[in-house]
Formats: sequence, structure tokens, C-alpha cells
Amino acid sequence: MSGSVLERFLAQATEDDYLDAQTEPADSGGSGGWSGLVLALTVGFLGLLLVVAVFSVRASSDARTSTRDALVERVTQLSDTVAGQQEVVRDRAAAVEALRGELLTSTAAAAVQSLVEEYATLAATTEVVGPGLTVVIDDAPDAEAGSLNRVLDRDLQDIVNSLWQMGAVGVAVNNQRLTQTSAIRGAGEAILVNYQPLARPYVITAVGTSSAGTGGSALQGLLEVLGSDYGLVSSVDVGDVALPAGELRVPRYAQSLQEDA
Amino acid sequence: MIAIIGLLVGIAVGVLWHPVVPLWMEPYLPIAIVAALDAVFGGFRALMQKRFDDRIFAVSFLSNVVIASFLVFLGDQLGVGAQMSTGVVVVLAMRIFTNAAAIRRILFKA
Repeated sequence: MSGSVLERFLAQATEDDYLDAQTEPADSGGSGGWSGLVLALTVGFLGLLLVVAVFSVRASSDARTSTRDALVERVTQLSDTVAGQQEVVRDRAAAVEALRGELLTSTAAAAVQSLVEEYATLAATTEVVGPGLTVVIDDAPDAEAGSLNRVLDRDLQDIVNSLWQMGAVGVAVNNQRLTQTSAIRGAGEAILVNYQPLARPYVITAVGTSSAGTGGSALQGLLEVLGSDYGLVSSVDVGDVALPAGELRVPRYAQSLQEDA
Repeated sequence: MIAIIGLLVGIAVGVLWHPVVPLWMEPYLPIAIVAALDAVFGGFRALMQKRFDDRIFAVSFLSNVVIASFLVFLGDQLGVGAQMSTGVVVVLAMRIFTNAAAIRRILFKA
């Protein structure tokens, strides 16, 4: 009668199964035979239940690990395939280069050979090593996101243009070689070159610049203005630099749907 | 004694036969085991108090297993399967603790 609902509920829920047996002492207990068999069967059923449960849990965890292992194996296999094919691409490119050189020397077309080299340099499809400049420029030390004290795509464009003016035969920004179809542009907070986002500091390398040209002072002036107006940190080094080969992007042409229009 | 032999035979049958649980039965297996454990603890307590009864043990064992599984099945059909299994497990665990406490009092007088 007394006590809370919860107490009554607890008392009923945990009621003893053997209340009846207490009032009426077990007469069939211990007589063996039928009741012993029932007991053995019941406990045997419990054992079976336990074993089945253990096996089913283990089987499902096995299935999970084997699935995971299979996925890991596929990932490693595919990355091995990619690495192998990149190797093949490098080999083929070298072979093409060698065959072309062989062909040109065998026909004794030295003029054509130099023309090919010149065009390859102009198209930025070969590596270039030579004396040149390295310009390093970085945001102002106290620059905040969105402020003008950061290096913008316009700044990189101006620097690259002044390097071209100085007679550079090849320019790369953060090891992204500039080709005829390269663009330096901003996308939100990032600067993209060849559609690749760059990380600061920005390192612009150029081969073939002559500091005697008029561009030299233009570059100097540009960097000074950027430093004094916006606090950008920059440095210029003269020395041998190596530029990686650029990627040749074949233009895609739009086609009219109507031939005679 | 006969109970231990029965348990060993059941385990041996399970290990040798290696039954595959049908997928629809898998969610009820843990509940059934907890219910069976409740009956086992109850039986153990009764044995300590010298009022064990084979018939009550077998009936409580089987009815516990069947009713617990049925409740969870019903909950699944009604869309409250997870809550129902929680409730069943809570009640059964409570009973197991009560029985274990009684056994402890008898065994250790504490």
C-alpha cells in the first residue's frame, strides 16, 4: 500500500520465481528421471544459446574486418598501379625525346633541331636550367584575412609581367611553370596558377632575365611600392635556377551545330 | 551434477554443430541470453535456499526466453524495438542483480 509507484514496481519486477515452491516444499525435486532430464535439457539449451551467440558475434566481426582488409588491399593495389603507370609515362616521354633527337641528328637538320628546342622552350614543355632570378614575396607580417596587406593575384601578375619584360624565357610560380595558357588568378582567399592553389610564401623563378634591361628597375620599383604601401615582404636573388616542364594543354575548339549557318 | 553435464553437452553440440543463426533471429539472441541468465540466477538462488524445483526452473527459463524475445519482436513491429530491448534488458538485469545479491548474502553472509 505504502511506498511510491517505483518501489512497488521494483518489488513486483524482481519478485522471486520460487515463491510457490517455498510454501509447498518440492516433492518432485531430486526424484531424478524425468525432472533431471528436463533440468539437463534446459541447461543444455542455455549452453547452446551461449555458443551460438558467441559464434554469431564473431562471424559478424570477421565479416567486417575482411571487408575492411579487402578495401585496404584494393586501395594499395590501385595506388601501386597509378605509380607504375606514372613511371611508364615518364619512360615514354624520355623515349620520345631521345627518338626525336636521333631523328633530327640523323637527317643532319641542325637548324630544325634548334628550332624544335626553341619552340619547346617557348611552349614551356621542357625543363629549363640557367641563370636567372628568384623573387620571394609574402604577406605583411600583421596581415589579416581579407585585408589588402596580402599578396594578391594582381601583384603576382605584375611581377611576372616585369620578369617577361626583363627577357625571361621561362617563369614559374611555386614550381608551377607558366605556359601560353597559364593564368594567375585569385579564387577567394587563394591564388591559382594552372588551376593549382598556391601556398605562401610565393616563389617566382625566372630563367634568362638580364638585370641590365629596363625591366630590372621596373621590378625593383614594383617591389618597393608593394613593400611601402602594403607591407609585403619580398627579396630578390640572382643565380642559377631550374624550372620544371609545364603541362601542354591542347586547346579544345567549339563547333557549330549547324554546318552551313 | 546433471546440470553441469547438460551444460557441457549443450556447449559441445553448439561447437560441433556450428549452427548458423538466421538473420531475422539475430536481434533476439542477446535478449534471449539475458533472459536465460535471469532464470539461471533465480534457480541458483533457489538452490542456495534449498527450495529449487526443476519444473519451475525449466518453465521460467523457457518462458523468460520466449517472452523476452516476443516483447522485442513486438517492439520491432511497433517501431520501438530499440526502446523495448532496453526496457527488457533493464528489468532482467535488475532481477539478475537482486538474485545475485541474495546468493551473495547466503554464500558470504554479507
